[in-house]
Amino acid sequence: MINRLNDLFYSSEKSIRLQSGRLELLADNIANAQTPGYKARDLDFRALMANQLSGTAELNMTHSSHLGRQDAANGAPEAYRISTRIEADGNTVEEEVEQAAFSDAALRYQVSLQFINSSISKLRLAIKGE
Amino acid sequence: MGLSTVYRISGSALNAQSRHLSLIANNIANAQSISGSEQSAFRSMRPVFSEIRDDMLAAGGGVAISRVSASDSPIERQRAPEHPLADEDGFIYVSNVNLVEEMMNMMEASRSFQANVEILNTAKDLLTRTLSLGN
Repeated sequence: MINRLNDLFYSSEKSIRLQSGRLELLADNIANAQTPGYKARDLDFRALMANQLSGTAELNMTHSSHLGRQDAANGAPEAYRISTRIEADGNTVEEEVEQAAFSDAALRYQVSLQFINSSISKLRLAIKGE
Repeated sequence: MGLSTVYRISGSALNAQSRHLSLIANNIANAQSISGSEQSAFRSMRPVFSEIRDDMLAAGGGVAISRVSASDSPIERQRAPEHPLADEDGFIYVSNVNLVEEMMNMMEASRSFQANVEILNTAKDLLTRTLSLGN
């Protein structure tokens, strides 16, 4: 029974974990919007989620110019964003793109929270038997 | 790792941008500053941002102002023999602050500050929702 409860929350929990890591990277990009030589980074969420769910955390590069790096904390590959605008000082952060990506990640985070919440209320319903 | 790190990252950005704003305020305040020699004339100060790297963390640790550099654009020399600060040839030296440039930098700094405040608010909202799971 406990295992099945685990299954109920497993994918949402993984998703939340990955999205919070992604939010962190994007916040760092926005914070460094004026840092000379800073390269904007992001996570490949789809590939990561597939890895997390299949239990293998391998480097997955979906584009030939992705520079993958094994993330120390959770085996997550992060890649440098392919930017259309590179400043004279080598900075590749496009603030609008990063803000859009940040709100996208925040929304996905909330979706996962919503899934967990609805699972909890379904469980409540079953337990109470109303 | 996690949303609470966002607080540290965006907090460091707020700190760096407010220092940036105070440098700009100082530049604008000294736009009319006059000096008796070219060496001692006021020069516009610019921050150099640098990323805080923390090897223990997967992501970076925010941003900091690593140093402040003085602008090397030319100092304007004006002839004003009656000025108390004038040198023996009767010249005074005005700062090289470019007001238009400073205003532009100020807008950039304040927009960046706002963007980071937005990030902080979103992170706070997400954390609050996470804490109230199941309610």
